[in-house]
Amino acid sequence: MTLGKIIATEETPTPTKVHFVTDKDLVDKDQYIKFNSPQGKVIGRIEDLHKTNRYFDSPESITQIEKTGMKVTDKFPTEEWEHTVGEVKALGIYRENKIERPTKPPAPGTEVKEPEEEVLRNFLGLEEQGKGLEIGELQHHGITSELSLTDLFQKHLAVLAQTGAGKTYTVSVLMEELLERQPEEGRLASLVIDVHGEYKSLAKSEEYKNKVKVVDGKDFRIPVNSLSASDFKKFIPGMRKPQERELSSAIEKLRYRDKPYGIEDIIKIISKDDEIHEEVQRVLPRWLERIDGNLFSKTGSSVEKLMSPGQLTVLDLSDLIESKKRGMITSYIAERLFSARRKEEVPPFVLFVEEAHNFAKEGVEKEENIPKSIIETIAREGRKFGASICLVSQRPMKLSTTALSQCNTQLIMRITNPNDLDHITKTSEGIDEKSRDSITTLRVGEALLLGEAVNHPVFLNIRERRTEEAELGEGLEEQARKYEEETEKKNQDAEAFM
Amino acid sequence: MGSNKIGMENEIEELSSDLEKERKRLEEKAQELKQREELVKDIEKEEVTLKVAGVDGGISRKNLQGIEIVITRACLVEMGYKNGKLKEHSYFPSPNPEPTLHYYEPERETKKPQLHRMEKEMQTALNYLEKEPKINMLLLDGSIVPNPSDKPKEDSKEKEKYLEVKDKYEKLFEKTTKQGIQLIGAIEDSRSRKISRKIGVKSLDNLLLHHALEKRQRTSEFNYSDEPGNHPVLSDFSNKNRNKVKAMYIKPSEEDTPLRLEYLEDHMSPDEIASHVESISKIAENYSYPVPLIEADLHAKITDKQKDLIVQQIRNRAGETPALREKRRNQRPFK
Repeated sequence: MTLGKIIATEETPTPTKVHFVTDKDLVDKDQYIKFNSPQGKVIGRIEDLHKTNRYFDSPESITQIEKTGMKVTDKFPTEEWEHTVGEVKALGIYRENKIERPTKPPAPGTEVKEPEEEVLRNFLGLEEQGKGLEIGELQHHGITSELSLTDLFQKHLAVLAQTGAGKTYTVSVLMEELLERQPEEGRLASLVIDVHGEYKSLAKSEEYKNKVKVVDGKDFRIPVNSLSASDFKKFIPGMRKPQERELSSAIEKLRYRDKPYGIEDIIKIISKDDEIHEEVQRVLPRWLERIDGNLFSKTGSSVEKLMSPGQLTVLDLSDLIESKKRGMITSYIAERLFSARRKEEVPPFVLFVEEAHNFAKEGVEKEENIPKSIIETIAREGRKFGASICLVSQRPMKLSTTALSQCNTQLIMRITNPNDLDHITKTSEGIDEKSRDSITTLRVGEALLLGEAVNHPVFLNIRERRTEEAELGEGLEEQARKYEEETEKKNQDAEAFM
Repeated sequence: MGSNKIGMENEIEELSSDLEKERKRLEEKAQELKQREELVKDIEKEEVTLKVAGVDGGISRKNLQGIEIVITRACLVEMGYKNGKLKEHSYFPSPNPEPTLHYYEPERETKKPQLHRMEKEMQTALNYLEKEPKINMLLLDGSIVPNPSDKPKEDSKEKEKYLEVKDKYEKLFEKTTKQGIQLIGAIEDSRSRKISRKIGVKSLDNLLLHHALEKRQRTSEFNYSDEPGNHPVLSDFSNKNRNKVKAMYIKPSEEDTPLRLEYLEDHMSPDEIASHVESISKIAENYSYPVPLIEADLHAKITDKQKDLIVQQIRNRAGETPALREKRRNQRPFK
């Protein structure tokens, strides 16, 4: 389908930028187009559209005309002079499944057309239908966007959006796609650090209930016998070398006994050992008691058992109020998973981390943000071992630059905070000024995908979920109404009692 | 104290003072005119419901070393109004009409290139009337007869072209009369001094009348020429037609000078003509002109870019020939 013709302006056409004139509303911003250049078929993206109309180009005249009490449109055939001009960025020359850089401009007057579905799919790096993870549709083209598992997850993924833009919905779609995969397609094990209990609903769906396991954070226990003194040091950042040495010695002794042991056993050994310095004997047990809080046990929960191909574990941390406790669990799980994967004791996996900015904070020492170190390690080294991470955040600016920059694919939804936008632009090579502007205007369910998973940034409409969304909390009105009703009832009961 | 103003500043001051005096003089004369009820009439306010067509032509010239090229085209716009609002419109022959090319060798360079534009306008209007359109008025951009300055000398080789054009005007008179269409010409910037001369004032009519007419007033109608038989152009027209060409001034906008209308005494009364044209011309308080003619002008205009494109096409076909070279004065290496 012909969409318009390339026009000559003072600055264009150039090899990478062209303007074309088109019928009023035939095209959309961010739509892909094609045209011929001396080098072959060029695929471009419409970066902007503007309309011209000579009847409306003089503000003074419009004011004067409308002072008569009639609109300009009542007097003149204004629509005859309305033209739409599209600004196109030439992305590359598509030739026999190869993409080359355009170095020659097209001729003015060249027809601008809609690219064929197959050409566009190949050009953008989308998988053939039925061969990848289906996360939505390519905007303005209605082409189902399927992405290769490897391209999307191997070099890690970041899902970034402000609150309410659809992060959880999008991540749920990704999880559904992972759960749908058949053994012959290659299946990953998945685990999500679910801070708000938003993914539990996946386990309720008829379709996936056998593939999704929900673990309540309150019930999760870290087995003490799996921790070394340096592991404890991560949970107790103030621990000094002599204290670590004594703790290590105590753990050695307990391990030698070859029986399960708990924190209380470690404390007992330290307290009874006369050779340990008095100060260490006083401080170390107190620290150990403080971090315990029902988080540790002799046997603990097995992380390895949570990971099976094609299965998802939802670790629901919504009832844990203490952020340190959440951090310790996340850190422990990530450490265990990465270590187990290196030894091939668990299948290749993807670890989804919701509210990632709270677990890998930018500008905060690792000692004060327990999981940051392991998250950054997986982001840096996980690729080699089939250990992938998906960071989900509404505050990219507060998210570790090291971790974020290692997420080679980014799925960005609506973000309007200028600081977050700046941070994303700095950490992502694929975002130009026009795409950055588009991010601020994305609607719920629309996303910009860029990086490893696609050859060029693409705007997607995220597909509908197959599972029900988690029930949202009560609205503020309902909560306020209930509070007043209950208070009233309590007062009445009190009066009756008196 | 002596003036320190030098050169142009003095001239500007002098001119400003003269213009102010002239304005006052015209205002005084205009007061006299205002009192004469037979000269100044009110225009009835009307939100028109009618169909009107406007035709305009565009012309562009290119003087090369061995050839002069004249390019013309014309566009007619038909507009349908309901209660003063534009409801429909169409173009004839098209919104982007094909230009026509005329060329002259240096020794035969045209002295009257506007004849080609007028011919194109007339032919476009005549072709349109072949369709027997159901319209109430046909507007021309300019007079409904050729301007005396467009008439070549008796021995000129262009006399023949002039007569052809004049015939087309007469044909237009006949066709509009026959089809019940009122023919009207709107003169954008009239140079006429007829009324001023009559009352012994040295001024352009529309400047004088700017002070004499209030918004939505007109002059009474008058003959285009008092002696049509001796008029350089009307005398070439048939007896029947030469006596039917009338004129008047209308003032649709407060701050704009009056608009001269010329029309064929035919289907509509002067009051109707004034009221209809006023309704479709009052664009703003500082500007008035019939909208169909503004729109026709936009479509008929030949831009410099379009002209260059046509000349380039000729060069592409004809190849390198000195006749098509730009004049030396236009290709100086230093601007």
